[in-house]
Amino acid sequence: MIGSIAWKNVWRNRKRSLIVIVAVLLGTVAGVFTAGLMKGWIAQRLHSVIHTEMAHIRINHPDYLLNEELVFGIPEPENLTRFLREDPRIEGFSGRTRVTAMAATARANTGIILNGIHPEEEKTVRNVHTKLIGNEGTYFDTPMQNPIVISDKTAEILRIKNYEITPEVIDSFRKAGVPEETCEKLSILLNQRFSTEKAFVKVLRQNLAHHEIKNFGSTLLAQSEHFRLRSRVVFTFTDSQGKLVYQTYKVCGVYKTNNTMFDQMNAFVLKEDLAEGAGFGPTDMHEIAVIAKEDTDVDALRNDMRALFPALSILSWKDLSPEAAMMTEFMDLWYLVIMGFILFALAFGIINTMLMAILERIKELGMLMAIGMNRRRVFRMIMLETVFLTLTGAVAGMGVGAIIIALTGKTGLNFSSVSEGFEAMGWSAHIFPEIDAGFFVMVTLLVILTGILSSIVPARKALSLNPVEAIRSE
Amino acid sequence: MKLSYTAMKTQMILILLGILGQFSAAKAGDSDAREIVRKAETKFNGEQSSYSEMILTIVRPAYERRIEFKTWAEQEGNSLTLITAPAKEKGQSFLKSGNNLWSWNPTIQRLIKLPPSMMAQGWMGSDYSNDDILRESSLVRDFTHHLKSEETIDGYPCYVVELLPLENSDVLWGKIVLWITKDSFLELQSEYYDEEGFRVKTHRAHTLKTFDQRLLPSVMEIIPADEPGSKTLVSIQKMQFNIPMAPNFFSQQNMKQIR
Amino acid sequence: MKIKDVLKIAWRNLWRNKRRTLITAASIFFAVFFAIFMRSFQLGTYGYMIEQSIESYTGYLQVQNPEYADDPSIDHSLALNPNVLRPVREHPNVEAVSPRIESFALISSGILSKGIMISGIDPLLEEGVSNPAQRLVRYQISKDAIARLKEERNLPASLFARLDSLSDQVYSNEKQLAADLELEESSEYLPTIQRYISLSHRFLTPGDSGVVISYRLARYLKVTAGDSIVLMGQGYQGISAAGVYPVRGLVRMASPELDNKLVYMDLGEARKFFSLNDRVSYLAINLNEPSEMVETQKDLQETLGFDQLVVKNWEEILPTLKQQIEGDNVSGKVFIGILYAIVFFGIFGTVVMMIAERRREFGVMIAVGMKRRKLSLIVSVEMLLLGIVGTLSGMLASVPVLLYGHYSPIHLTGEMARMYEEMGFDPLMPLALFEPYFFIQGAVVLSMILLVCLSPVQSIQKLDEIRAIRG
Repeated sequence: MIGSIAWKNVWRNRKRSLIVIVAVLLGTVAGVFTAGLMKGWIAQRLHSVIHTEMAHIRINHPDYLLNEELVFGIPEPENLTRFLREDPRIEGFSGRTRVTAMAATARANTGIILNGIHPEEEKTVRNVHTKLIGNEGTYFDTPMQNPIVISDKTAEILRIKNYEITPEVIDSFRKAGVPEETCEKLSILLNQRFSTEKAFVKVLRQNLAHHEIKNFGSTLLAQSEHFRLRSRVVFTFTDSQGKLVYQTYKVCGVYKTNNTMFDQMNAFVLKEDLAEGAGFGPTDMHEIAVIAKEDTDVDALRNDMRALFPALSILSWKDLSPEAAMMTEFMDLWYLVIMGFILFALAFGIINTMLMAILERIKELGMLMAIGMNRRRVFRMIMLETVFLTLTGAVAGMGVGAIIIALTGKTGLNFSSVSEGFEAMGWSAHIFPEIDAGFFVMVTLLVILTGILSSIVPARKALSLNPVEAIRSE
Repeated sequence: MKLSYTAMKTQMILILLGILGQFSAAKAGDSDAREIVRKAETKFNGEQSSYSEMILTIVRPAYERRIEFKTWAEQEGNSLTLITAPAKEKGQSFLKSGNNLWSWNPTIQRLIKLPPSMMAQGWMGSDYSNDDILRESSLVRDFTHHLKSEETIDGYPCYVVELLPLENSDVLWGKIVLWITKDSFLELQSEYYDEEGFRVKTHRAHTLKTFDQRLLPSVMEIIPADEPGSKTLVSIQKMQFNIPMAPNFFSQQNMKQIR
Repeated sequence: MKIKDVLKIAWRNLWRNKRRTLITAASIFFAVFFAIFMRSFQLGTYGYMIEQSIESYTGYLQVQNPEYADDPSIDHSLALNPNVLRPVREHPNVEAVSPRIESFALISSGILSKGIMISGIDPLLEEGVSNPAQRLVRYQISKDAIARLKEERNLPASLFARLDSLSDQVYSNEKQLAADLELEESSEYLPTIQRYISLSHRFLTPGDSGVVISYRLARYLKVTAGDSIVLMGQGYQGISAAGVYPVRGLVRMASPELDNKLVYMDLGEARKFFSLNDRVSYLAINLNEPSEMVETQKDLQETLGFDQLVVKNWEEILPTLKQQIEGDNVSGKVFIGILYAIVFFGIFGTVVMMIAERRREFGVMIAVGMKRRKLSLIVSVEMLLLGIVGTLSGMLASVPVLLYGHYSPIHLTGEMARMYEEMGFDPLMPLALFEPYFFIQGAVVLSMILLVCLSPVQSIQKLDEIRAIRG
């Protein structure tokens, strides 16, 4: 009953209450959105760390980690692979060979790590196959000799990626909404090839107006990008005997993740092709990457595996990337801090409002106390009033915040002006906010707490009243 | 060094004079094109060995450098090179044996096998890379050949042959065009194109002279396409064929001793 | 009417309703204090990260050959003569200048060889910039040392367990060593342990004919101080470069990439190796006042002329770092913006309520003859006073906090500390001191208050005084 009185009291001075409710709403939306943004960002990074870079667990010969020498393959892998196939916690695993090589084309050369893989196995562990760009590339589905999948960055360095404006490309400009006059200007560049982004952009700048570049620049770049598939790249490396080996691979696909460092270093070839060139046996492998099923305790899995295979180096993604591990732990703390601060700022307004409400009702309160409502009830009434006031705003705020996150979560937010810096470190510049129920629970609890704490001052004011004097006051 | 074999060939006068006649009336056929290239490539296969003294000139916009060296080579592909000038570089030697390139430096008294990461670098800083020296891609074996036309260079009538790499060869180039003299099957010019059809470098051989009774271009130039003011020249000062070679001549020991 | 009177009335009005005045002032105080604190924290951290990354390697400015930026090869080096060095050194804002030679070469020991990067430095001058000597490996808990330590009677068994678990680890200073051993730096056991695990390594001395190589590289080549290694490569204009060098010591670099391929050499020796005569790759410059970096850059560029040399700042050299900081900065500003929005709303709410409460009072004043304009003025002055008091007190309160946080910053511990130290930074989180942001916060709050004043002013203008009195 006190509850319903408290609730009605909230609405007695509509205007005043609304002001506070709106303030709390805005604050909550801000808090929810900020948290959603951060959570989405970090979730993406983690996803990338696990599903593109490291997997949940990585197994190597312990000496391999020092300098990645080819001789240190995983010894006697049969027991290990049997375990990996049978353990119910494991989603998939992929055994790879790895060779550090020099890649060369007619025009350029660079250092690369060749990963010898089984495409079907690798797909269960790494999502590179979902990150192909360009129209004709495939992940080892095109029949050809010695296929290789390289990154956009590598293609650029090796001059396999070029920018070219052909009549078809101009058509695609038109389709993408580039205005006719811009297309006209670009037609003088027909059939010229530019092997670096820099050179192409320079020419674009020379021929187009500033606003044209601003509005259509990225479209022009994206549509003019051209990878010549089946380009040959000759790799030089030393095999397991220390002999110098040459092997040619042909590009069958180009991928791009948002970690430039990963992209720059890694190229993927079929295990049997690499084995032929480097002199590996059919079951040789340098590392095995393991992905566990969702909600598995990865640490426990790792420990079990260590117990079963003490001679091997078995590391979880947390071991391999402690910064990533720390981030998740910090996250929860951060949300608390953010929401806490926002609520603290709001508390002033809430206290003020409630105090005013109390002072207005001195006479009434005095009456209530005179007719026998005990102090505890009065306190509870005021407290409930405060909590309801705050909670209304918060609930509305969480609702709005959730909607905003749902919307932006689909389209994502683009911070491309600073993308290069982030992608160099492996962070995405295109963020998809997300939030989980646990967060809302925390916010609700915090809000209730704020309400209770804010009610203390006004409640004490109320309780300090002398009922007799209160009735007589004006 | 490979340079000795692919770029300079001598007609084995007696045998080929006869066939020459038939070639002048050649029909434009790929098998003929292939024959032309084969002849050019195997020109010196009859020779057991060779010894040459050459001067390498590296021309760059900002500077020019000259390096003098001696080379011993044999039919199987092994070769040993000794740098004789300038003083700073003198005494270094290079051994190409089997699939490896070794380098000996007397200053540091160390023998080093060149790793893959150094293959793309120019030998002694020139436009001729370590890779070019080491690799044995055969112009005959690794390509298909098409006789395109006939042109005259420096007064010598030449066949112009276009080479396209075979699917499975370890060749970097998208296309090579050779100008081979109809007379003596000397390669006077070649152009190297990448897979997009853009020219990357040109080789020119000229100033034919007679060395040890064989007619050869005495100067070869390697001209990179996109670098104005840069090129590499090699000029032959002296060349001898079928010189006697000790059995363990092409060895690491010998690298250190050779003078 | 005189200003003094307006002020007096406004002041009295404020104190008539103590509760409201105090609460509103408190919320302003909190907003300003917190905003200053947070900004100081952010700027302090960025400033620190920039300092550490830049001062410890790139330097704030670099003097380079104009072609070096596009192609950092040894051919694009600059001639270092007194005409270049003197004006740079003499510039008042230049704290340290370090000439460097950087290029790639092949290192070889026995049959092992690897591509590495040679960093030719002047050991004395470099101390003022990246100070690589601090990363020298001084201690190694080798199995040998552990075995011999175990023979020492007066060491507790728990310590042996720790030592075993740290087998083969290397350390650059006592602090890290003590931390890992879980001992106090003043512990009596430490000197004993140090005696057994000290390495007779040293860094380069000026004119040193030896090299210092990175730790992982040394392990790969299986060399340590006292061994010799061979360096081979191409020098200036393609001249062959080769030499044999004794290893003086090892350094542990933060990034594993770098730790795999770094070789430090004395500048003179590097010149000999690369046949560079008096040339260097670039000059790294640290400044006294980093905030004046752009002016200093302009000054130096003018002094050195525009055709032979170019002066670049770290933002041009490390654009990715700049972007990262920008991104962070923007998010920080956004958060403060949110905070201000909330506070604004709170103040606005308070003002609205105040107007409502004082309707009668206003009505009376107007009815009795006070000009509306004057009333508006008084009310506005009330708000302003409130704002000023709140803002000033917030700023004042933050001063001791900033001073403390700046001169005696928070020390990180545990995992975070480890991470910082791995990167070569001290694990600190310093606060920024009195920079423009400090006053900007105050200004923002005051302008918000002015904005809020519009509401009462408007109300007063429209007030129907009869209605108001009747209530």
